[in-house]
Amino acid sequence: MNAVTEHLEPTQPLKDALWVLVFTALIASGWLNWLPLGVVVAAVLLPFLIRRNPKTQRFAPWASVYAGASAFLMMPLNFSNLLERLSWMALGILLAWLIGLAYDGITERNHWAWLAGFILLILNPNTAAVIGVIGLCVLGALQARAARIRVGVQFQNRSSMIVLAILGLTIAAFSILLAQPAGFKFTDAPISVSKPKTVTKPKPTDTSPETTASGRSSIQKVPTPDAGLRNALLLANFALLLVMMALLFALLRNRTQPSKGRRKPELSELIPLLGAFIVLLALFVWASTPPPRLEGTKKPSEIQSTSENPNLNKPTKPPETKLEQSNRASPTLTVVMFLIVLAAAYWAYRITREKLGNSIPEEPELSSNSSLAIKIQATNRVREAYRGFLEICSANEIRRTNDQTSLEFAAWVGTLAPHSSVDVQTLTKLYEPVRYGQLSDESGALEAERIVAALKQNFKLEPLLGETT
Amino acid sequence: MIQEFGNRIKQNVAKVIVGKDDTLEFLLAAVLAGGHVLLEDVPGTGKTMLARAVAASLGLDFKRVQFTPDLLPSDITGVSVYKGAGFEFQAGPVFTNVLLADEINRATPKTQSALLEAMSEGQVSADGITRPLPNPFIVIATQNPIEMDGTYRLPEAQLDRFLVRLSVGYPDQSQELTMLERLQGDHPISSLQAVTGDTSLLEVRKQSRLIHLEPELREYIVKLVHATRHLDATYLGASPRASLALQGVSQGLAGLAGRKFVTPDDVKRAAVPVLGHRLMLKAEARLKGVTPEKLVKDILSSVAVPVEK
Repeated sequence: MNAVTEHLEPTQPLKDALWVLVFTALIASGWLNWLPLGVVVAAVLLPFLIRRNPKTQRFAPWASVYAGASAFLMMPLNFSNLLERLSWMALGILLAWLIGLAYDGITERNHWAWLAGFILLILNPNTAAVIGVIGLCVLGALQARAARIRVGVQFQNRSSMIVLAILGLTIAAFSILLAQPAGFKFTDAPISVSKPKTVTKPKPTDTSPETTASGRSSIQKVPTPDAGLRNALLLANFALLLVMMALLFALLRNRTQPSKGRRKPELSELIPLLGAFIVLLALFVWASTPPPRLEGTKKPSEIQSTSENPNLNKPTKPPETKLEQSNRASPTLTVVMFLIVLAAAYWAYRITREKLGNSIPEEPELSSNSSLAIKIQATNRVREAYRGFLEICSANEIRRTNDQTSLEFAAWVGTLAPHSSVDVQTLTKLYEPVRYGQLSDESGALEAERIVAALKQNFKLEPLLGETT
Repeated sequence: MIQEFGNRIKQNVAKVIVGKDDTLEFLLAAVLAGGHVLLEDVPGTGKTMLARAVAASLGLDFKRVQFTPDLLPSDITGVSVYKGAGFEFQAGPVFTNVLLADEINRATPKTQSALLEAMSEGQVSADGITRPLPNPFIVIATQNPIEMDGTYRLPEAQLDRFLVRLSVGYPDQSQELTMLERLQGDHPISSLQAVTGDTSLLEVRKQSRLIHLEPELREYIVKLVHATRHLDATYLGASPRASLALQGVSQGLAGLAGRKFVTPDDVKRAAVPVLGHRLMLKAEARLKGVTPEKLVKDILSSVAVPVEK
């Protein structure tokens, strides 16, 4: 956990790491087979990969979320061979890389990432996969551009985020629509994409309900209600993903630009989380329910076996039954996973509250070589110290007017409390750079904290003329 | 780099102009932002001298045009002259780096308009041919706001093309005394040398544009400019060009102060010189004694500054 936290936003590293954990746990609980585990591992490992670049390290949580996005995209799909699976997994990693690198501009490393991605796209035989991944890549790049995490520059344009979210949803929807004719099947049972020849078509003359209803290939071509439901759930998954991103956005924004020293998670942040859990729970419950079968129909494997075996009266063991069962989430496991996720979220919430409960946050663990992280931390501390100064002023009935700049305010406070004038001016000079786009260093943060501590002790208003002391 | 560049010029200009640091700083900020400057004040306050001193300090090609009512557009842009084999274009004084348009409001609107294309697009169209002007191209114009006889008020389009309007103002007693001492002998303007060294103005301009401006400050600028469009006292507010100007001048001021970031103080400082001349007052407001400067200050006191809450 420490290794994961050390490169993240230094004010609440543990909280960030927990969010990553929560998201990856959500993804894992949605899958419950070996393929997503790979993606989950990728999602957990991505922060380690991305942290190498100090400029992109702050995107580590985002990268994990996007790796999760690829997992969500894959959720209803089944792949026939290892190459496709590996391609998807690698594409998930590539996707997250792109998110991180989109902000960093085109560097040599980016070229390699793009090249790797291109090769992977060629290797992946499925056009739909290409479309889907490109769509997500574009979305990710746009989101990362919009995010522009800088010190003091976060998510300024909320409407652009909404537009991008809608754009992302549209891209996702189109990807799914385009994916269907290209071979992806959103039916309720596992389907081998690259093995259509193993499915036996019913004879044209055979009009018996058993053969028509149970022929898998027939069901795939004509979307069933279940297929529609699954598509809807897939879209819901994307909506959920966007909600989660909005949640992250809100948390990041409030974390880096808190309006006050203390902050509790707001209802608007918790409602999407709750909504996300409800949707996921519904999905899991649905996934745990065996697919509805028409009365009198047989399993596809039975039909396949029957068609391959001329002796129709001799029942054979369906070879794909085990595979079908393995792709179903066990209800017990679903509940357990859900509880784990809920517990993790609650833990994250508690830790966050404890962390934010202090007006000046504790010094987080940071690696010695993470100079940027140290500077960001120092910057946040200077801003926190300035907020402390404003609270001191507020307690003394001195409030900045809307049209006053920090320098003007400092000059005004200096006239009201002349003995603190120098301290106030110094603090303001430390604060101004960090507020308007620069990073502070450790000495600046210490100085700001020292000044605020001194002001807490010594700040006293000069009595006005005619006022008794 | 920007601060050093500015300090060198300020020190050099101070040999000629005494105690006009603020005006000079705005002028330099406007030059860094790639704009043109309108110096407006009563006669004898050193407008022309300031412009000449800055041009000399920058070490750029400098030309001066005395605007008079009989001045023709071709006197500024140039004219084609028949020479043996055919017509040959004789470039006008506008083909320079720094053009001092002295008493610009004495020329007719037609002649004033000859500068419109040059100021906004850095080119001159004459005889059906468009010719680019040297880069950088800076117009420093002067005008007298008091003596209105025989003058033509600058049109709105022309005013909008000036990044800032500055007033030099009278020196105080001690400054005037210093001025007398310095100018007792030869006028130092004739011996003023370029002080930019190896640093080119274009390079410094590029650096100035890179000065960080917080998105919130950008919003603040836009709010200020938009507020000028909804005033009862005006029939025309500031244009989008004013937003760009305010951003550029704020960056210039920050750079000259040695900062790599713009603060709200920079924006507030730049607001009056940048927005003042762009507000067109209604007649009744003028009669009531309302001035554009006062309106801008009112706006500054009504728009919230982005600071920590």
